[in-house]
Amino acid sequence: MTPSPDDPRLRLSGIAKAFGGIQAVRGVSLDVRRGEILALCGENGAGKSTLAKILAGEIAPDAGTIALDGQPIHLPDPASAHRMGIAVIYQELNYVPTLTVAENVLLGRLPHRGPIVDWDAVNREARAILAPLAPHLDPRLPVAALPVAERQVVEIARALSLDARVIVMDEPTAALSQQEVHRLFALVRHLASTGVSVIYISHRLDEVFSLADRIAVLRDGALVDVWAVNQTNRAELVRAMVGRSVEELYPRRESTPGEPMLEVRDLSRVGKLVDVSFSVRTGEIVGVFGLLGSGADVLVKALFGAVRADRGEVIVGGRSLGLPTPGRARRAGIALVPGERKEEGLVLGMSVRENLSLSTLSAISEWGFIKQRTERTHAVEMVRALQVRTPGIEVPVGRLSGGNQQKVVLGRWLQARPRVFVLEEPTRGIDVGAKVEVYRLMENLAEEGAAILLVSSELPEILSMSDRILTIADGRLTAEFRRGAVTQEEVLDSAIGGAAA
Amino acid sequence: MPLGEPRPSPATGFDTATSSPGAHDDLRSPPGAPVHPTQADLSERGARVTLGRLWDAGIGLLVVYAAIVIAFSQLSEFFLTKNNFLNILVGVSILGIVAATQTMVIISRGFDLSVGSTVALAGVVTAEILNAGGSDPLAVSGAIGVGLAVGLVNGLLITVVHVNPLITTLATLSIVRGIAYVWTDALTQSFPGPNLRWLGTGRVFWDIPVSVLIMLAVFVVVWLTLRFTTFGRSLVAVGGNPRAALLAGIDVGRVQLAAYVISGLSAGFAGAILAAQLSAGSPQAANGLELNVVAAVVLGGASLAGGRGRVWGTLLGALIMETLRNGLVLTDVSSFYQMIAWGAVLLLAVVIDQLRRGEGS
Repeated sequence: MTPSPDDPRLRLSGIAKAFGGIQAVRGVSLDVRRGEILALCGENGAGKSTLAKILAGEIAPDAGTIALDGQPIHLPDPASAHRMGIAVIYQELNYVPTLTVAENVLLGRLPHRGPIVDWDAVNREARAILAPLAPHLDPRLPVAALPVAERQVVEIARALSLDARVIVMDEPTAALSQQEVHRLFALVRHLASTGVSVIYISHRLDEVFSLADRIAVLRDGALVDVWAVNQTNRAELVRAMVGRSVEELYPRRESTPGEPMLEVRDLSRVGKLVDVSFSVRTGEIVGVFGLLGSGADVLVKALFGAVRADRGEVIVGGRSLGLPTPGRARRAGIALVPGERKEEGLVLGMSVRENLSLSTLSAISEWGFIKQRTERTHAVEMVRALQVRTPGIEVPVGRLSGGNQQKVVLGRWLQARPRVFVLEEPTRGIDVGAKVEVYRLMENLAEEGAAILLVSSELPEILSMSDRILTIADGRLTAEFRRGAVTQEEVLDSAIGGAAA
Repeated sequence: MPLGEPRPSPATGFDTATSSPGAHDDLRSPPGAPVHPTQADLSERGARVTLGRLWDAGIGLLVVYAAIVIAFSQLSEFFLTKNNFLNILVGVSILGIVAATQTMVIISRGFDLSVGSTVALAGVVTAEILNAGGSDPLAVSGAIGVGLAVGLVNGLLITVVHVNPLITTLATLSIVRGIAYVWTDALTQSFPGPNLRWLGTGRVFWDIPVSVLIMLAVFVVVWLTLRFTTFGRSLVAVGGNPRAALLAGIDVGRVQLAAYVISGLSAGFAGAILAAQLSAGSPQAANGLELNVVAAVVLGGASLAGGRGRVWGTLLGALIMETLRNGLVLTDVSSFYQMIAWGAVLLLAVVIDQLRRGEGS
């Protein structure tokens, strides 16, 4: 039973997994060859991460088999995946912040003599593992003391130290700087040259094209297509990922911006934002693009007063709010659709109706008493207008799908009739259909004269939806582009600019 | 109790929404599909869910209470009498008033342990004002003023300085009780009988004690507030997800501050009532009341994680505890066993609640 060299390193046959009624992965069959870098692409919710978790032994598939070097294997838990030589590096980092770098890298298998940990060996081994990735990193530092990007390096180092035959990387570059991305790529190529198979999950097409040997695309849990990297192109890949062409995905519109509606002047917060100034005119969509840690998220929260800025001014419709508080921002007509829908956008225990009215309570009440009928009517109208798919307005909002939850957050603000919309990652984690609806809604709002600030880490979305694009890095605005006059690469360069310099 | 909610249709009863036909299809259907239920459909289907949930949550406590009443009426001939029930109601009034407003605090994800001490200091202030020749209204105002002050201190420390509510109110619990002792040299301050008699032992129609009526009024006001007002809705939102409430433009700090102030005010008022019942203000009064209060609220179905609570459940919780105490006294059970019984009931209630919620999710 020696594995024949013709066997693929990893063979997935008919893998399927459902959560509740939702089929996350449908009958995926896929071979990964020895020493190959296979990119796995797909939209949020396409089933990439579920597949990664199955390979990690974290969740069991409902159907299908996995074979490693020709041998069928069974992965009941993460420990057995480790033993088989399958390492998964997740998007979400799994480190113990108070332990040192070395301890985290070697967690669970610290070198020891008898019961005593051999600290010299720990640090030596950790240094050796880290050397190709981050030679400057001191293994004795606590992980909590490192910047986010370096914590990710620790995570990657840990997986590498397992002597893996298969490494699955789930969006590993989300928090990395450009230099670190280059180092990671070199490392991945080196690993592949030694026979390790790498499954590289990403929706960043540039990375995929520069790194992968083959590209596999998942959509709605099913494998759509697999190409050798030189036999496909970006447009084909996007079409395969979203199931429709880009033109269908993003509505086009003629914009005729009017007067400045939102003006931000010298907004600053120590260590996070440096003199950020810009304006958004009525009928205009301004995109803000920044990498993780660029300060884009802080900008959004500071604009609304949910994070206190140290200095600066926010002006809405010519009237200054000074440094806003959430209440003042709301009353001035700013709407904030936050990026973390469940943590920041919704009160999950409350009904659809109650979540919809949260920002308009004073408008629908008299002497502090909520007008019940008005509230119900408004909720029903909004559910209809936005085509929120829900069994009813009294259903707890937590039962709705991601896209429908997002519509509830949007609907809440639509009821408040704001003049400025600040949308943070408005299409994160929602399916393509709901995405298109959100884009249409943005277009309609802009046409009706709203000023829209779109903060997103999805470049195609920023490029297609924005009239103007601002890039932010290290808390500073680094560049401004006009719609149509810029490429993904240029925007990305400006967004990385500050961090890499 | 879901007054004002549309009645469920008799054909479908208390079905949950997920089991209703088509509900799931709606969620999964492609964007273009016509999925618009009629207006009546949208509001009715949901109401059924709420009613169903309230039903199964509230009825359990009622059953427990009925069981306790039936058991004791078998064990003691004195238990099921009008006088004894009035005793129970008077006994529960202080606890009830404070627990009603504590429900609001806990729903907002807060915690107020200082209420017992506030009741004591408010009682002492009531007695001191009366003994210094002050009028009844002045004495009651003084007591309420004590509550206002304690509530403001708690609320400002928690919402402005961001000290943990548990620590804040644990500290003020100790400080306020200490002030009551220092002020009185640890001596109970009696005051002449006629003062505040209307409040302490006064009775109105059908012999119902004034303190009981006041308690019921407090519960009705709290219920109205939670059920129908913007403030009540804000409390639930703040407790359910403070971050989301903030980002929806709700002034989270002000809402929480108000909850602590209201809790303080009600504890102050309860202090005046207790002093009136005893014709004295005692620095030892209401020792440990805060634990009974929290127990009643949790027994009633509130979540210590915030965002969920039922004020009528709190009333039932308080009644269960006081009835249990009363019944055990009538059946000559030692007070040590009473402590054990009290803890067992509390555990039982929260275990049942936990199991029920485990099934739901």
